[in-house]
Amino acid sequence: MSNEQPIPIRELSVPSLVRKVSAVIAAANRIILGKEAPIRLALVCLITGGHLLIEDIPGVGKTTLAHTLARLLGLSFQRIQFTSDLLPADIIGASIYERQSGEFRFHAGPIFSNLVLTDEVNRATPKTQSALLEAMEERQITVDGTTRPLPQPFFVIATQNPAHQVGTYPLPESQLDRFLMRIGLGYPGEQAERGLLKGRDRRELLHDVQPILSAPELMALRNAAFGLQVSDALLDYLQALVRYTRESPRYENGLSPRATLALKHASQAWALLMGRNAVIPEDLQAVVPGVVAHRLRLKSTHESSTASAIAKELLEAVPVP
Amino acid sequence: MNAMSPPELEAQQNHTRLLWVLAAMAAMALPQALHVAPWVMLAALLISLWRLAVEFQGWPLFGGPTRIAFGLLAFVGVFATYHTFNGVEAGSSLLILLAVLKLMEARGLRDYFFVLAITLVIGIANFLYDQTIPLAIYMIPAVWLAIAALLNIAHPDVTRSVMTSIRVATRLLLPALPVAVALFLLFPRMPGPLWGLSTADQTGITGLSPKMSPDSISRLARSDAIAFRVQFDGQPPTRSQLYWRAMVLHHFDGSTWTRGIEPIDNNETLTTSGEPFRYRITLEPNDLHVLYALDLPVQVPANTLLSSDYELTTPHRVRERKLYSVTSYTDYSYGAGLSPTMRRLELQLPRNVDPRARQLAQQWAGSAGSPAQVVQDALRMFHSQPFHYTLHPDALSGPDGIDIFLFDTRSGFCEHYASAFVFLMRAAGIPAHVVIGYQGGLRNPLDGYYVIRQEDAHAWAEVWLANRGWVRVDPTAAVDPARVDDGLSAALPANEVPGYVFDTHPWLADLRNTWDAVNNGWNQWVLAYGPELQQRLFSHLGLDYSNWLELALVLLVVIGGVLALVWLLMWWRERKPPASSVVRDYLRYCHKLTQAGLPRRPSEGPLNYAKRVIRKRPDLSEHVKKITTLYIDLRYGESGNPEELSRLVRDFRPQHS
Repeated sequence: MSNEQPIPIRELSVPSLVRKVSAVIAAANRIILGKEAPIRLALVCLITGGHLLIEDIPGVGKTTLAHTLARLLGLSFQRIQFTSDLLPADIIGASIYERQSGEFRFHAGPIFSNLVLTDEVNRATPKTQSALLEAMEERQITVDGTTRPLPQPFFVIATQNPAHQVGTYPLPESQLDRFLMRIGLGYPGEQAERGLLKGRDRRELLHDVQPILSAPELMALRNAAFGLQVSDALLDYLQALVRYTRESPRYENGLSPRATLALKHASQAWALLMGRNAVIPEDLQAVVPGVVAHRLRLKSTHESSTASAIAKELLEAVPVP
Repeated sequence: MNAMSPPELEAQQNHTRLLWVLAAMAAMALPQALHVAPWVMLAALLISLWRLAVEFQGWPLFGGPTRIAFGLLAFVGVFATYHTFNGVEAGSSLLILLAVLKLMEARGLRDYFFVLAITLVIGIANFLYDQTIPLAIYMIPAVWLAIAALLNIAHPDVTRSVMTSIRVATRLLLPALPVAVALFLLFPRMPGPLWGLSTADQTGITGLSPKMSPDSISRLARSDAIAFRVQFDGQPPTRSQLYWRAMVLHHFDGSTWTRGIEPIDNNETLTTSGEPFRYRITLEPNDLHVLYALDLPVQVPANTLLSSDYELTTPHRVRERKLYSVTSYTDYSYGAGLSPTMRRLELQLPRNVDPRARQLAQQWAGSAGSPAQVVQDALRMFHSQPFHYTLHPDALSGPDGIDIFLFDTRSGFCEHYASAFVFLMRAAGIPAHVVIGYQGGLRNPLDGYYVIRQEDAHAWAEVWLANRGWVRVDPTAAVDPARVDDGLSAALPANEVPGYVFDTHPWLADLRNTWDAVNNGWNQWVLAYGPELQQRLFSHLGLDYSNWLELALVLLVVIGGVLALVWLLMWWRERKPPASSVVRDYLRYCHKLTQAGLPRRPSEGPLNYAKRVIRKRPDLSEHVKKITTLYIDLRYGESGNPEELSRLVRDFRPQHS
């Protein structure tokens, strides 16, 4: 189930790990063309140890991105296609009666995996969604009174279609909050699309991808990121941003303490990837679109605001102290 | 995600608004239920319930014609009830009815604002009936609720909790509080009640009336309503000196004493001795032209007149609580020279009544050597013969009431004794009259005020003796000295004492004292704050009360000052911590670049700013990079040498290079 091989500790020096992350980004960028920023955000999300939600219209490469990351990070990987008739047991697993032994045995579901890709998460019924989201929060599963821990690390990359599409059950705010980040991919640029048209089939390319990082290395990166210095000056800025969302009448509700912590951790991971030894405002600004957009709801529903617009407006409103 | 279409959202917002407006309205209009006709409250309740059913059960709203019909009905009903649209009850009734009807057509922000504004006026109208502490205390949370409702009307939000609304309302109300206090103290006060309305229901006043018949004072003795309060400057008189003079009654018709023709006698001579007593009286409304004062008032307040009988009169009936100061001497003599006209008046008796009493008086007059001896004879009779002091005397109806009292029933209250005594004196040829007022009063140990209640109402007599003038004689004291020395409850049989529970339960008396002291403080400091007290405050502050321009200026300055203080407080709470030298240096660097035409956007981090600057001014690249790197190290990495940054910024010359 897990591919944890012992790695000599000296190989885990931080600069070399960061170089490896750059290699991961470069490799992913060869498959998902022209989307370096979302890829970097996605990696930051995984280094921070959070779950990732990719929201965009069908066909822009959500699943491919998730696939690519799983391959590059060398994680055990399961894909679950969410449909409206999917049941919680289909994800978690179930106890099944075995004729030979005459007893019930637990058959682990696809969720027992380092990286779970749940495709089109908002097409399943809320019951199934909540089973998944509970596992995301608890990082363990309780079936028939037995609690089973999920493998470490455990990531969920979920993709979903925008809510206004037919046949979707939108995730409630409380469950959206469990995703560290929500990112979108957007249409590719002219040049990138030309590359896509001229190049080989993406699925074939995916087969050729070799793991660059491993699960223990990912954990080491997380430890390094969380060790990065966060000065009071930066915390002032972070708190000013959060305070603005809580006090401004523009938002239905402000950012939660969970979101505040997520911002801090994600900006540390971002600073690590940028090769810095302290977090600066630019790092925080870089992760804001991914971390806050799905947690803030604008009060006036007349104007539909995209994630980046919400983030941009927030950043413009709060001066860097 | 949970997107709501605009109409849906608007409906939800109006939902919130309706609930808040109804809550505020209920709180504001509740005290009105004590005053307006019951059908008004019932109709308002029914229409509100209907409106709620519209919101929750999908009942139909009233259509335009129905609304107009109901509106007309409200006017008709109010007119039928009160025969006027003028006046507090009629006005309040109309406001309440029209406000709930307005809810039937309330569509959005503007309408709900309007209804809430009416609701606030309904709340103010509560004080037109009643300015007591319980209502004031009730109105505090009510106003609070109304302000919270205002917030929820302006910014409806289903997710906002009631507590949050209350908290925001508090934040809005707190800065208003000092402004309200300043307006209360400084806004020019008009004399008289608000809007010239007569405030109290005049028929409800119990108290002395300007005549005395056999049951008029004993009826009062059953009421413990407060007649007035007194605060003495310095030593108070002894209890037996506490005769509070109200009116002098000269004319007797056989059963009732009245004031008769007002005697005009300018040859008054007054001699006083001993120490004067100075005191302030807070008089409850008595609906009379008379103020009460300690026997005998000498110095009286402005706008009052001292009659030749030493009654303290005022040109207007006392229909609001009134504050005034008087100086009295308890050791006095007046009226030594009695004019023949006055003498005739003071000897007036109805013809052919009470023959037995007349006979007795004439018998005394014949045997006694002097008028003083006659007085003594009469008092001795009351004292030695079996006369009883009681609240429940036998009915003395018909003619010859005094005969029946003196020779048959021999039990009565102070008015019987005073009446019979004066009759006897006049029959014996000694000028005499009845004085009514109050006797006694209890000192409240909490605030030192004397409280005189209606049960202390009393009647006594004055007789005119040559060389001594008018002398007070209290025949009741001859029957039962305890009435004067210890008060009514000590003098009466235990089962007749009106306030006997307070004697048997001391804690009840304490409670009554406390409540009375609180009420008195409220009266003295809040309600009594009228033009006189305001004038006194202004002269204390060295301001000219008659100069309205100066007053307006003071008011503006004070309110401006209060607002400035509030603003300062808010600024203080929001202020930034003092900048460190690193931040100052960086700001100086930004300032230099600003002057060079490259200002930093507020939301721009140091690195992005540096990149932009270098793009525009490649020549500055080296310097900017150094400063930015060092600044980032110092500020965010918390390492490095701040002096180095100071030096770099000092040498940074973006304009010259």
